Amino acid sequence: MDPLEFASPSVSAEELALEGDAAQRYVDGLSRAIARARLSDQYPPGKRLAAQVSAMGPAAHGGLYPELRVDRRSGLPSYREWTRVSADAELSSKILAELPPEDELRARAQREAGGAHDGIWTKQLRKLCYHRLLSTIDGTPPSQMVVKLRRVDPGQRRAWFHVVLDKLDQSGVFVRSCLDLAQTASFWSRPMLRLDDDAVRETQALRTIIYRLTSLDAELTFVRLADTEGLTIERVIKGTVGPVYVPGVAMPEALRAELPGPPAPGFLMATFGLDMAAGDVAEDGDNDPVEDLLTERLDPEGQAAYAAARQRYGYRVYKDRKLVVSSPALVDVAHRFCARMGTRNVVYALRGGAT
Amino acid sequence: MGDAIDVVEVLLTKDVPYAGESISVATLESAIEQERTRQDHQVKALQVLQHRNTEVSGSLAREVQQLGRVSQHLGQGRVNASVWGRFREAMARIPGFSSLAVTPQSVEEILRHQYEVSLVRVKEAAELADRLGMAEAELHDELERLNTKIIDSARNETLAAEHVLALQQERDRLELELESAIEPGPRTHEMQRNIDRLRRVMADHSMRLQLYHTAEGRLSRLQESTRLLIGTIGNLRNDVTAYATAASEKLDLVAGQIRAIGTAADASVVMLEMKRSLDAMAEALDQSTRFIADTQLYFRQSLPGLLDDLHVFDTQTRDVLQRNLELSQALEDERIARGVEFALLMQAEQEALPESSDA
Repeated sequence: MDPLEFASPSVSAEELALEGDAAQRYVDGLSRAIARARLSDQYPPGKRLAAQVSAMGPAAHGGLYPELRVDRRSGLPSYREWTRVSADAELSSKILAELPPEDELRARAQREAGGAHDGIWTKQLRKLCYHRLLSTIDGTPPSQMVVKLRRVDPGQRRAWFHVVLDKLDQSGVFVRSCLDLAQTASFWSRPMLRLDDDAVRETQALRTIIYRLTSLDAELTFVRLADTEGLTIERVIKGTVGPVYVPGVAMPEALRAELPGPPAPGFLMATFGLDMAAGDVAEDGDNDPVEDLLTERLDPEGQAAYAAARQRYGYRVYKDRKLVVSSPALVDVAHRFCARMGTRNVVYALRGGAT
Repeated sequence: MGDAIDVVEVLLTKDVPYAGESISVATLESAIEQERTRQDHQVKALQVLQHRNTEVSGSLAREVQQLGRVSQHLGQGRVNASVWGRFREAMARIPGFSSLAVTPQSVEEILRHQYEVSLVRVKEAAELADRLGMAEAELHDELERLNTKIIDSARNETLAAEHVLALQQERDRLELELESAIEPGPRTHEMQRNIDRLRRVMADHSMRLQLYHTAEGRLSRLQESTRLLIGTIGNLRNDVTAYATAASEKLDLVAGQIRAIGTAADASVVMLEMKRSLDAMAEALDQSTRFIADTQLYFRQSLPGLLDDLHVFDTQTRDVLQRNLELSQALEDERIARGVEFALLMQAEQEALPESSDA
């Protein structure tokens, strides 16, 4: 059987509920696709996400959780699943410290085997294996902001920062917003970042602006922050993991048109977007077959306003996206889909090299 | 005469098939002490779980308070009410931002944060239920072990009684024969020797009879204590499982609502949805807290009493054991007599049983 085949998922309006082997095949496929995408630091952390996705499968938790919910819009595990893994990981060390030794658990689980339902010792043995795995991975919650100081110019009362926010977005995709910005201290402006003796911290105001704008284009964040007194924004980059197209998940019409029929069991196409707004982008461009630039979705008046903003702040925007498909046979499908959308994109196959 | 000697020899050399390890005052004391140690360990584990229960209860209560504050804040529409907030909101209006009012903190973020913290608390409660489940399973194993020992003791008691009676019957016969002998001679000396040997073996088995009888009674009392512990832990586990499951289901609903809130989280209609989500979460956790408070009260009321009972029982059993030991040393004859009497009583009961059941 194809390792990615997950037949007959139960379907609700907003989420797929995968169970047993189907859940495991999905988890294997997705974690492999994330690893295959070779994500740079501008994307959400691929290794961490792949490990957390793996921990969602029955092979990891041994059936402690009956099903895996997948967001039908993004094709990624739902918010509930991500928070479940991070909450479990938070408790792992405590749980492992209190569980009896493995030999004792195995012996007790063996003695209670054969009943209609798994007994308490079988469950504890599964928990032992699950939490041992969790203790080896980074269980950071879906949302996290990190601010790093790049340099300080005391003479100009100016400091340069690198801000990174990871977030499971409302649309169900994982987003990393990376911002390079500078702040000039002024009596008249409220600081967005605070530089203490040994640490730099974002203010709630900055966090809120970035947090709330992750769903929208990098350009919006750039313009919003550029308009803030005391701040100079240099670069905004948003990397996304998803959407991931699997059977049962919403799919672009252009992609559906390239498939001979409904996506077969085992079909997977993971997409990884990069959206940049910065002064050093060579030229404006949109090479994203999945999502248009914001300005392309605005009416002429809105487009003119943004053109003026680009002129005023001296930045350009570029969107790109790479794809990972579940088999070499789907590489051509992916290229045709991109061509249909007027883009040329990097496509990797899970079984085979990059094309 | 040859047959009579054979009967004596058979009785004296008979290997009575007692189950388990051989019993003595010391081994019985040791066995009971082991069982008591196991039970003490379980009670201590229960105390740890009680402490954990207090911790979980406290943290859940804090989360509920926090949720209540946020919910009230949102309900009164004070998220963006400050002068500075309104000023910044006005200043922040640029093309494309008309729907993105600036608030001190993203309500979506507040709700997500609260959800994530609450989820950890609910998982801690579920973990407590599992710990209680393990303790309950260990106590069931303990009960099984006690039952096996009680059954063994009861069987051994029957075997000892039968053997003591057989020995006594033969001793009585020989004593009668000795009394009726006209003149002392080698035969009477042989009879006296066998009487003494029978008496010695009777002393051994009547002591066993008494020890097995004592063991059965004392183990039964330990068994009762274990059942009490199982009942206490089982009830608590069921309660904690119920609230953890209910809270978990509510959190699932809240997770769906968080997703539904979308990016326009500051719109008034969304604020209402948000408040509804928070109220649902607060309600679930409030129920959980009440549950925990109730079970905690149950623990506080029942555990000290249970501990007192166990300690009283412990003292009483030690006294009984000591008294038995003194009696067995000072009044061996009396013990044998009691053993025989008891064995006869048992025999009478055994004989009466088929008649009762036939009737």
